[in-house]
Amino acid sequence: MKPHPLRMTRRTFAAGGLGAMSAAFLPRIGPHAVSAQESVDLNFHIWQYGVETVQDNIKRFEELYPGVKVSLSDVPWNSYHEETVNRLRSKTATDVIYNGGDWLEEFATAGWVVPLEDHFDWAKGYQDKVFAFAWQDMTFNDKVYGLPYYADTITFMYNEQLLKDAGIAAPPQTWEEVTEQSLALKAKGMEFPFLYVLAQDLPTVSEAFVSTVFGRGGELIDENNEPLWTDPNSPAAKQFKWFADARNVDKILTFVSNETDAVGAMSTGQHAFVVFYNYHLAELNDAARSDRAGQFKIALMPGETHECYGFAKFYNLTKMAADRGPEVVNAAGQFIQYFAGEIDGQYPIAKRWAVENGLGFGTKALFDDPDVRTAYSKWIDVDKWTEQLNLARAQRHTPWQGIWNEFFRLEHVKAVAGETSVEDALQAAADNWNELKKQFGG
Amino acid sequence: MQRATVARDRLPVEAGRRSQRYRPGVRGTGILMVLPVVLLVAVFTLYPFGQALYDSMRLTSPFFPARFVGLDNFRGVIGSTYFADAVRVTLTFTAIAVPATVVTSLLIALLLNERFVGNTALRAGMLLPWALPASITGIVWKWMFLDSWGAINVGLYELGVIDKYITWLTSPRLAMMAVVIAFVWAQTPLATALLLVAVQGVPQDLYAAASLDGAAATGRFRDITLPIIRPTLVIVALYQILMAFTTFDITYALTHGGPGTATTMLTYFTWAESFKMLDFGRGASLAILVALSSIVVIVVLLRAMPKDALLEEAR
Repeated sequence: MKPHPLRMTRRTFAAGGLGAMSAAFLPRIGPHAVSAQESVDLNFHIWQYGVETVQDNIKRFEELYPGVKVSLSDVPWNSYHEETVNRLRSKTATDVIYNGGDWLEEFATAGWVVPLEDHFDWAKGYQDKVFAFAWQDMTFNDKVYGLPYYADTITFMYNEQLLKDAGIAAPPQTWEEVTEQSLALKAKGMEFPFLYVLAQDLPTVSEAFVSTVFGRGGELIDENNEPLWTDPNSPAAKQFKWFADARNVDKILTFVSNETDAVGAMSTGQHAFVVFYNYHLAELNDAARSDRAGQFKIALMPGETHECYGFAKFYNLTKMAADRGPEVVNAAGQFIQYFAGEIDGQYPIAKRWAVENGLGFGTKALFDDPDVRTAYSKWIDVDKWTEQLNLARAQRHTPWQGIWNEFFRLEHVKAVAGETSVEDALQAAADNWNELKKQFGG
Repeated sequence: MQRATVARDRLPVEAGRRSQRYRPGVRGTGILMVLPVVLLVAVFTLYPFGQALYDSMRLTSPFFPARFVGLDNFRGVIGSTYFADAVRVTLTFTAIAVPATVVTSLLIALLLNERFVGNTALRAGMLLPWALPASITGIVWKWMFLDSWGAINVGLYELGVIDKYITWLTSPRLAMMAVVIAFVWAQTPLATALLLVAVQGVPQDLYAAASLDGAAATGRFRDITLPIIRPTLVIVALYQILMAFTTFDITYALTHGGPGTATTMLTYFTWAESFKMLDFGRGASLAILVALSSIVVIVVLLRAMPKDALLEEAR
């Protein structure tokens, strides 16, 4: 039988006693710190990335707060959306989750997650400390729902050595130049210079596509949630067509179905260009993982404006946790603060992710942290990255976007694979959008 | 030459006749002994089917209140272009994969029926793919077929067979071929084992007599082996049709139904509709359609076969 979260046992009493003693010497985080005498179970639901690091972070948290016990559940990134929806819908015990801007409106509209600022006075205080795009991604109906687990950009990367070998002096500035340079590389024997991470079940695809549309200065939807790609001259439609043509007309593009395969593929030297989560550049330039470490560089996202998609993945409090009472809410608040917040002027967990894994961060303070800059400079041109970071922006979201993304990716893959025309795919994506919009009353 | 089908063991029929003389008490004991299994089947088959049927006529989504929608879910999925694609892909896959599996299995069974050095080791090794879960099979073949660094491309390139890597998993037709190969690889062991038992059951004296009559190997296979193993062959083929028709794990792990919908079969479509589009009502209606289609396919095939194809053993 699962113990009641607030039931006191001899073991928890002893742990609580120790916790009480240690709490006197440790910094209190936030105004609602849980008394160490209370025993609270928290269920933390995440997608699989750096799970060992997460477990270690939990261990450190539990040492600091012996009255709080954290249970971790992790599911694959590819299936995170549907598994989380079903988990929350079925009321499987879940208190804190990873969330992203593309799912926030859906989860909030369904009443599964709650704004942080409704429960914690400190939440809004982070607004000035977090990058604007990250804050926007965590905000719905003018309320902030989380603090960043990480915040990053989706950027354009290239193999500098391969370009040099082909006599190409500088990376492409526009998508037309991407085609030109790819054709030049192809003429010199590289079969598919552009590698695309593309699969209908991979959430990454939607975000990567948006980032390339941003490079052209575009958006997917307008302020009234109307789709913009129905206009063939829109940046979104043009970019959609670019990917399909790159595969089927120019034959410069191939694709893999996940990021791990893409890192491996880029490391073979058979591809020169890729659009990725920025932190993958750390993997590409890691000598332990790639024979071509050091050859990969970041370039500004091709297009007229060079903007890119900046996003936040964040810790979100669930409605289930809120309903469990103030002790649980306070424990969850401590947990979120510890994992994402400021502790004595430091952001230890976010910094750890940045230094050890190259994950981006949402808090501005880490930008100037010497340890972070030293670590980053090993795998990225920090000045170029700063330039791209300043051009990052969040995208507009809707409550039905999570479901629509599933549909859109399928049409996207079909168009790139040559199974359907660009026009039909874009129309199907628009029809589905309008149907969902109607269903959701949007 | 004497046809093998002429010689038949009548024991099963006689046993059946004897069963009719069982006393009521014995019959009751038999029913009681079978009842738990029947109940288990009812609970784990009939109940889920009934629940799926119920869900298929309701709007069942995490985001909206559930309500009765009649046959709207069926109309929705059947009217979808994805449904037509999924039906086409499923039939294509079944039409290619089943004959490939049965023929491959039969050839291996015939080979293993011969005496040669290493036969025992080969039989044991042959079972390995069968021991692997289908999802692992999918992942293993994915590593084999990956465009940029898959073992097949690297091997062929190193051997000088190809001068550029083949886009196995990103070209619709090649992706289908990859799924077929993975399916055949996974299904062949069981089919081979069943067929090997059947082949081993062929009386050796028939072969000896046929050899004395001057029959060649192909003639012996056509006139002796094939007729005798035909019931097993039919069962294996029917089983493989069902397996192909309901294949999910391999496509999920190997291609995720892609690229696009190139390898999206009805089962994957059902899963995607339920767990990606989060429309459980439509997913349930698809599951019902798949189940009914499977029954129809089996019935049609059974009726299309010669009437004695499955009854050979019972003669």
